[in-house]
Amino acid sequence: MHRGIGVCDGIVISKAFVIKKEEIVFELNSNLTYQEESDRYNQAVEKFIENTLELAAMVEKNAGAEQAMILEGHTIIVQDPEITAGVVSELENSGVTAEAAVTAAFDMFAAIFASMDDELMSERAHDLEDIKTRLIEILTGKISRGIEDIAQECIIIARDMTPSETGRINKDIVKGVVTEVGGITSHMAIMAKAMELPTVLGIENMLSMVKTGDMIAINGGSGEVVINPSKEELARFEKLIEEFNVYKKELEVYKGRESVTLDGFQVEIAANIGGLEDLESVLKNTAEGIGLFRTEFLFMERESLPNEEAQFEVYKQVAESLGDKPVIIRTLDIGGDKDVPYLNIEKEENPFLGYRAIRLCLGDPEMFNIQLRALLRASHYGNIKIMIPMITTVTELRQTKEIIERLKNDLAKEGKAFNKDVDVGIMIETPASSLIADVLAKESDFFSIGTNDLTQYTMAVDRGNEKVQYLYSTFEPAVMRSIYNIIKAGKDAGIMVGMCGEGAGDVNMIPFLLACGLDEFSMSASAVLRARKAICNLSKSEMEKELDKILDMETREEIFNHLQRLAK
Amino acid sequence: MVNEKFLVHNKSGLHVRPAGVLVKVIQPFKCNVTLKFNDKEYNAKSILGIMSAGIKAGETVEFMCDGEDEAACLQAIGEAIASGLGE
Repeated sequence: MHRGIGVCDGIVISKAFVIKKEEIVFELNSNLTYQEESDRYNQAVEKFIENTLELAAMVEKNAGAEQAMILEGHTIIVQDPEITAGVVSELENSGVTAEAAVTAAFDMFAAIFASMDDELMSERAHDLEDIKTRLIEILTGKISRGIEDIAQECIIIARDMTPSETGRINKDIVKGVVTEVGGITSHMAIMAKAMELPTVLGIENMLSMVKTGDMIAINGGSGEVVINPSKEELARFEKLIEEFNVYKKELEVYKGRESVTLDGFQVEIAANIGGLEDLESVLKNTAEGIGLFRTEFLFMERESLPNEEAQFEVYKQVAESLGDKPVIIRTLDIGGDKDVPYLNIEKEENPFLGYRAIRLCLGDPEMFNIQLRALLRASHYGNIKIMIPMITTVTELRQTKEIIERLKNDLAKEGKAFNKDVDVGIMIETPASSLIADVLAKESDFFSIGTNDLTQYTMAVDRGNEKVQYLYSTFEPAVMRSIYNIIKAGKDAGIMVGMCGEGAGDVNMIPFLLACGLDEFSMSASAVLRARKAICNLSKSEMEKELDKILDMETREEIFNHLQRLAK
Repeated sequence: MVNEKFLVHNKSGLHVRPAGVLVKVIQPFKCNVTLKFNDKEYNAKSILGIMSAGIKAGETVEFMCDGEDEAACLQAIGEAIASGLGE
């Protein structure tokens, strides 16, 4: 069994079709005149545009307009003035063939993109490679390899797949794809998702292990690939296929539905996001809000602090895309373990116990003010709520609220719009805040429980340390009691209590959270439908009857086994 | 020659598609258009030129237009960037 990166759910068993790329050989030095080579080049570009537009029309049918645009983009790049200038200068000055000139011009830009410290950009080197190869194919009249040669049902095995090759895949006969290279943000991955083609990327040496005609079983979700599966493995995959089909059908039903328990208790299932790029999935999976927007991604991978205007635009866009649904935005949660060079945060021996999150924000008021002003201004455009991470004392909350009030005054004086009643809540993720949750609830508009950090701090366990991993579980009695106390304190004070850690989307944890009375469950967008299904099939009052029993349990195993039974 | 600095605020910066939108706006103009970023200059009529500058959301870039229709071109660039370049 081999494991790669699964980029598109789906399980298939079929025969392998191995595509091996052969270098196209061409003459470097030309026997023709400059004008003749230049004509060859111009004709090849024309032919390229014609072929690509035909292909784009086909892709639009198979994968949608969005994917076709990638190919239409290739027709712009092939006519790019910088490329044209590069080719012309090679032809004029070096007396080379059009093939060699095209190679030189494209390779120069491919090298620039490949060296960029940005995965999305370096993937674009791949597009240039694709365009170059197709131009050379046209010029030489040789085709390097043939997706068109595929005549029967198969799984394609290739070193990698260019966007145009992916576009030429006939979905009626190609059941899946396995490649040796390619990342989760590659066009291959994006197109595979749009085409709903089970795909596994990044299995090294795949081509040397398999030949055309071998049986292959792949799981595009988990990234599993089995070559020539045994009877037992075949049976296992066939069972997975059956389960997957049933599962997919069942979840579809929950799109756009309200999240209400069997006994009529309505909760909100929201999504966690890291940036604007996650919004599409939020809307597609019909999340009922954003329960956590991790703003630190706006601050990372850059050279200077994002200014108020830039932050405002992002927050505003998120708020607007969600309409009147709640959008909880967490202020900067960053510390010595994350690399933000321009903040000059000192390396600390214990970054998780150090100068981070709200501590750092209160210590750097200028930076904090910029973010809070951007948030306040964006609150005018939707249902934004501000969330403060890593609270350990009520003083931190008071100080933050004071700053927010002062900034509101400033904005009012400047005549800038904002929601003067914007909710300010806190993330409960430290044992300290859990123990004084009743105090904090009096001055907080909502709670959101961060189970990942709460587990780590409560159990005194470093998540990254393998030797103590066995202690890291949200099902530990200590963590479960803490969660219960937090929710109870919030409910007693009449405020909304949500959860935005892994726990909220865990179907085995949901029965307990419902019993405690949690109002909002926030998770990665892809988990929303599964959680909604779990909630719609549970009864809150039935779960409440189990609560005392669960809280009295003494070990994690006991709790987990009991909850697993309730979840079924 | 006219020039102006603009804040790029659309989500992915001057990536393939936004750069494509921008190039489409710029190409019809007769003037030469140069993009200046981190002290380097790029041909702003070239999508590859713009992309190779590697500009991310939240960064400020300078455009310089030189030629008969330079003022109109600079204005069109400003409007396109303000509108979010199709994102």
